[in-house]
Amino acid sequence: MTNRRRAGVLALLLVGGCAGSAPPLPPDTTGTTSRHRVTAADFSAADAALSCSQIAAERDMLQATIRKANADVAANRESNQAATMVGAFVPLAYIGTEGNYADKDAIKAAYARQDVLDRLAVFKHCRSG
Amino acid sequence: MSRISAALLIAGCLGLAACGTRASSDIAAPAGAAAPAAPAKAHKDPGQIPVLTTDVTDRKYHSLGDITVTVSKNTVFDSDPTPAQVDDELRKRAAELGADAVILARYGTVGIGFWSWGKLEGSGRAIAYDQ
Repeated sequence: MTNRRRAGVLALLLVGGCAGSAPPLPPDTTGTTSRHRVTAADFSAADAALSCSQIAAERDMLQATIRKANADVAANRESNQAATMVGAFVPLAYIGTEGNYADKDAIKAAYARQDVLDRLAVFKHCRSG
Repeated sequence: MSRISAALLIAGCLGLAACGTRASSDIAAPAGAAAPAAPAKAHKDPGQIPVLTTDVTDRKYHSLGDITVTVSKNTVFDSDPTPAQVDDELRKRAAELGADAVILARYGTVGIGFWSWGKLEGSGRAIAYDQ
């Protein structure tokens, strides 16, 4: 395999079927050593107006979004793996890989929104569960 | 036994020996909180450390560190890593920090990595309850 072909294979490995990193953790706002205490100014007017039940309902929706996106990624997992194996010999097979970028972005966005809702729930003293 | 058969046998044995998963981890100072001066407690049994996807709001706690772990399968024939395996690794690292729990656990998606046919990253915040 020439260097050019190897570089092509590596580049294709980057674009199809790659693992998605874990979403970043939010800043600590509830621990006793946290540097920032949550205030009303941390939320948009629309968010601040949400009731505890609305927060819980949106959180449930986000969980469903994460589950669905993960299922979509998993559905393509075997074919991505097979296409990558075959692609080592027949690079055209890489066309068969599916990156699921929209799903990965949806997962990250859902976690980010969930972090906001969790902070809001604590701020509003909503009962968990 | 021919040389080719012997080579195949050895390769097969090596392949089987490499079956399973491996893990790597990274621990950073907790985002948005003062870093702990030193581990507050002795190491706990990892099995006793809960891994929660939510925050803890009914007890006071301080953050010990933000843990990121990656579980990778060794060969293409192994099963893909699961969130449960990520949780186990989070527990182990949290135990080393003397944590009581891991909160805000979250996971990436399983996929191919540079050095693995399947890897899954997860992260969580190790915390210790205040007395």
